[in-house]
Amino acid sequence: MDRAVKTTVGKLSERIRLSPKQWRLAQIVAGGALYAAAILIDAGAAKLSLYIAALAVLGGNIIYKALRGVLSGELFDENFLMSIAAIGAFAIGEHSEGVAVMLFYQVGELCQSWAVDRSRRSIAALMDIRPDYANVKRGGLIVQVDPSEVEAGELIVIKPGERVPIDAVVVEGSSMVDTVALTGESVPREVAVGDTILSGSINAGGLLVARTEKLFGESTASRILELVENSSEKKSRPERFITKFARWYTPVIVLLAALIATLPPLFIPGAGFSEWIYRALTFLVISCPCALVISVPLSFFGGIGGASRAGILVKGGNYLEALAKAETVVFDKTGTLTRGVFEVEKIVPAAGVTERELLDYAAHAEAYSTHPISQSLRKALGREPDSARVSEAREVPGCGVVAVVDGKSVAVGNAKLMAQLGIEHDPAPDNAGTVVYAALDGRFVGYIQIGDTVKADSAAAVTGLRKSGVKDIVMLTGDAEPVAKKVAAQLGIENVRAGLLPEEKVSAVEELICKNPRSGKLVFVGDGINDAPVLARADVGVAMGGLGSDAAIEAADVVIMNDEPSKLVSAIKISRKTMRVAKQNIAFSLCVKFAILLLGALGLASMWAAVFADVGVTLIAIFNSLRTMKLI
Amino acid sequence: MTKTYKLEGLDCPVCASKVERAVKAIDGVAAAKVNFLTGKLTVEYSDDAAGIIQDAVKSAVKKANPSVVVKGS
Repeated sequence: MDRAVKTTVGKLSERIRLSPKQWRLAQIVAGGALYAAAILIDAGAAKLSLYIAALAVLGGNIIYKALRGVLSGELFDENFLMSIAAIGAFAIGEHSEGVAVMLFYQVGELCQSWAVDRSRRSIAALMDIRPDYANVKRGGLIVQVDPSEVEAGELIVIKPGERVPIDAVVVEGSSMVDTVALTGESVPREVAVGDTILSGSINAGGLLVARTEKLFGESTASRILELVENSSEKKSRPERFITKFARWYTPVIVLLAALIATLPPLFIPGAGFSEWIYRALTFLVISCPCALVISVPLSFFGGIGGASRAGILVKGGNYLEALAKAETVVFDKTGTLTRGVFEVEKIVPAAGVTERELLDYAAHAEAYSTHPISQSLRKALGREPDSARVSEAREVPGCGVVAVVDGKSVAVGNAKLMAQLGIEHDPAPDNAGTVVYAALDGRFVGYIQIGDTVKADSAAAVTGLRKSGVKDIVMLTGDAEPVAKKVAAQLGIENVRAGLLPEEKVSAVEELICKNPRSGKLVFVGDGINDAPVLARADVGVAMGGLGSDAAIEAADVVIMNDEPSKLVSAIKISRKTMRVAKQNIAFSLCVKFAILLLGALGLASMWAAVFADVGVTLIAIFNSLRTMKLI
Repeated sequence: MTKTYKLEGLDCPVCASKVERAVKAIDGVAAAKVNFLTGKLTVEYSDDAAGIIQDAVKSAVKKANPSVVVKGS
């Protein structure tokens, strides 16, 4: 019998080809019509049979699922409790209420499934970096295949407007690549032969041919998606609270319902069974903790999705929670607040020499050197030095270079070199950082100051953090004190620890954590290359410039995809908003539930009103949680 | 071997855990995980089950919750 019904229903739905959602809608329309008819008719038997028909149409599949659930031992199943509520209402003669419970429940489920669907879709749209196909060159033909079928080392073609499917190196063509979905950076990047292009970015210019470097599953887009999708496994405190709460909520409500149905009629004189059973059934219809179980994790997922759209990967709700409580932020200097690249900062020629001449001689003397200093000189010169002008270049280890340029003897190096050669020079100020002095035919001609430049938005990051309530901002560095002090002063950071070895950075962070035993969290921001132990020790380890760097993505809790430290400010804002929304949802849902319970117990709430309120809370909480996706 | 399926019509976390349990119970399945928020089912299974896994997953999901539809990976 059971099987026969199932196959008939199955065949019917197959023939009409309705999706589960359309099916539910049809159920609601048909059942609703029968229900309306039943209310309008006043004759006894016809009215009752219309109610029964409406209940069968609206609640038939729920009662069926409930029976199956009971057979497999699931007593606190939502279907079961709803069925009891509806059938119970029928049994005590409240036919209209019984049908209304099912009607509103079905409408609620429909709306909920629509809301959940929409939420999923909008979060998926935030992370729209998954490539659908790859154009591979195979045997002289270009074939379109699933990205997962492409091997490493194959040639792929990316046409204008297409998404790069797999991390690859350009071998032909040049173009602009839009990485906004990966980094939040809206200015396209230029790429040419030899450059790496990352999966998930979009070719915004000409045709590119590239050789794949990795498999699809190991490419940037796949890794990012995997990370964000798995983030829901690392739960925040509100999420853990909800999980625990949900486990107890339903059984407790059912127990309360049982007590309300039985105790008052037995002990209170004049209390009727049907009156108290009705009140108990009101409890059953709000026994699902849906509003909380869906909306709270969704709030966090939305926040993580919104952050990833801004180029900030957060590996779990727990890290989002910790970021919201950030009180101390510790920055590594090189590569985090500074660009980590040496550049000429200042050219100070001696009397009678121009800046250009000084730079020209210095860059040519260093023409054969591969030292970072000579590279920065060459870069400042703006062209490759003319090696024909240079002869007899000789490196003085630890000091500098002596060479003949245009037939003149040139010495370029530190103060030690000048002293060795017996050349008198004007010393540069103490806080200058790295300085190279230059002499021409034994005469001092000036010095060039070289430094690691501060990133454009570092100062904004520090002010932004202060404004958002971070109490302590600290800078750690392995560099010497004068250089560190100079950078700190530029950014307005007072707390600086210089000259630290990598392991000393760990103990410095530990010290700061101990000093701060309150609930405030410590965030460490580094470049993710050499600071894995520090990233691990901090409450939240943030790695910068994670795009394309596997090590950084692996080691950190939060990854800032581009090089901007100011993203940390956005991350903290997103985290606070997420926490606020999650707490709102918890408070709101619990208040409404308790209000219904109270009114129900007092006999002031009707069953259909209870269902209506419960469904309404769920929907409002879901839509509220979607606010976390929107940036600030 | 691991395979990921997309589940459509997964409306509540409770249904998600039911589906997860049903898939875990399939012979040859070592581990199964349903992510409610992304609507994804990840199944880890032994090589022997490779031939039947697709159908087994589909029917187990259908049995656990008829309104959930399994889409390919």
